[in-house]
Amino acid sequence: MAFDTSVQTSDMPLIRREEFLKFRDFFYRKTGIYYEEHKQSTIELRLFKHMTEMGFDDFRLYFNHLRFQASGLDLQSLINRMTVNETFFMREENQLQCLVNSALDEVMRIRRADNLLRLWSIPCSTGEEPYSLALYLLERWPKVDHVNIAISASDIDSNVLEQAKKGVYGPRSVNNIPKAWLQRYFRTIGPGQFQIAKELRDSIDFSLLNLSDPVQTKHFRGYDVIFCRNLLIYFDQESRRRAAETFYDALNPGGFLFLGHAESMSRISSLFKVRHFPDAIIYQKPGPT
Amino acid sequence: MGLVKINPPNHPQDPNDPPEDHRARFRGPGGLLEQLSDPRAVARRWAIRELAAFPESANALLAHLPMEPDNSVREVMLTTLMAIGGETVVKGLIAYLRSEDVFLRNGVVEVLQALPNELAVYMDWLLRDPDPDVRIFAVDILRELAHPEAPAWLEAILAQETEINVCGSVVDCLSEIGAPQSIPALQNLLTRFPGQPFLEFAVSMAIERIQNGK
Amino acid sequence: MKKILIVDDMNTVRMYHRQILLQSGFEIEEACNGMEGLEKAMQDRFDLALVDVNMPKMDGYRMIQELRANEETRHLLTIMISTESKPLDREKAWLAGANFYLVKPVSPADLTMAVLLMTGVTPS
Repeated sequence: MAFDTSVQTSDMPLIRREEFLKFRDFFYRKTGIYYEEHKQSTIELRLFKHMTEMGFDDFRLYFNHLRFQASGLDLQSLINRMTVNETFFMREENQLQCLVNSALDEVMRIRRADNLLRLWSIPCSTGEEPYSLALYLLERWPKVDHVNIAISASDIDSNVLEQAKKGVYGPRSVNNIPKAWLQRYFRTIGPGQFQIAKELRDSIDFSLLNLSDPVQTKHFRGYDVIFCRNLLIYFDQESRRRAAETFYDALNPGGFLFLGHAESMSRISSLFKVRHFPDAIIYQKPGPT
Repeated sequence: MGLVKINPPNHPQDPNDPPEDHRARFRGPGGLLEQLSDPRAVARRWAIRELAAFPESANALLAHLPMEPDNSVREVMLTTLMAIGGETVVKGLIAYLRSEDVFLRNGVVEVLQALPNELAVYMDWLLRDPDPDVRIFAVDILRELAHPEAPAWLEAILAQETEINVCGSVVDCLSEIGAPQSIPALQNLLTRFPGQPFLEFAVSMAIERIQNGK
Repeated sequence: MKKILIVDDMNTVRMYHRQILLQSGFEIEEACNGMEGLEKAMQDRFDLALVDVNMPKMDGYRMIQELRANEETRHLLTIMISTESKPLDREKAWLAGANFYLVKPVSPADLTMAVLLMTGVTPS
């Protein structure tokens, strides 16, 4: 039965208030994402649309289905729908600022004998994130010339990796890059097509990786910083825990993990120490003391 | 200086790393289980992670759990037990619900919450456990249990539970999974525990959620 | 306006405490486990935190220890709220660094009195 949204007016709630509250509390428990009551009308529209696409026209039935489906696949699909995920340069810039203003300095204070700083971007998608890291380090970190910096970038999707290696982006993606950086590091290769400099494309080590595969991930060790933004939210409880544990062993003691701004370790794992810096809250592997 | 490219594996040599050849040679369940007593936490974590592929290791892991001193290793153990699942794991973990160790107890609850269906057969017993904390944990687990009898079980508890905080958990649970037939049991609770502002609040909230959500 | 952080994994308990304290004019925020509570305490100025004991990911004792270990949250007043009433549990709370201890279920009068006194608000 298709639901005709054209007859809905803004006065008619799609979902009763108490149903919304039950859903809201359930979703908060599962994901840490909390919807204020005043957001009900925006949320319920998305919820209702998704629900009808899944073949449900009764919210109570759909909610029970979400709660008790053994595989949890439909809940995952709802989470995917409810969390917008677009990638572009300088996304969540406060975290990049935190990196160069606070995190890296602390890592440098716990220096090992070698002179190598290692960062890992996972998932790297079409490359905006690892390249943003590179640009920010080059332009905003005073100590960039004092150490060697190696950036690894991984994704499970070979297509996006290929795009990342090509490094060609459109206007929306580069919108937040300062003009001076755009001129310095990108070449216009066509109308609305900006390619990042070859030196940068060659400096990132891209790899195909399934984070849930321990055989593949055991090679990723010795990192000082890991960026894993807006991935774990799509995982089930077991996979999230595993990912957190994998990152724990991938990091050097005192190394930092950055999650998406709406994500928190509080739903995932107690392994990491919470660190509050002026620009962001990030997570740190304990030690060395 | 500046950006360089290196290919993993090429990490700095850390004396705490388990040597590559050792890991390669002894990666069967026997060899992995031996590593549970390795002095290096990182070696224990790696071994336990890989043990997820060997469900027969569940008993050894369960036995080792309370003895493991490092919480980071315990976390990995709990995840592996979650991955293995099944009756052996559930039965073994239930024993730890009574542990004095807060970290262990809460960790075990989390794993059990992820295995609700294996727990169904123990629910009756858990809900009657002499320890009220165990009964509260049991109620929390019911929240996740895809069992049509769950609301009825909760209603039955309300009729005879003596600990007020266990009742509070039950009411909280019913506010989420309760049905109109739960309402009399909720109201009767207040006659069993008169003059309890928390229960009055909880019951009225649960009834409101149940009534207006239908 | 004084701001209180309520940390408890049970929704009903959070709402119950919230409702009581709203009546005394406090602003309220909630967290459902110790780690989330810690993160909120770090990002915002609170006058007091109500902290439950048994919570997933980070229990109440550990949350209070972490609060005390952090420069910016060290002075946050905390009331530990527990289902346990044995002397040993109170002692554990003091050792963790809690300022006060209440046993669940807490009456509106007891909670209000404790919070008003600790935050230095004169009861109206």
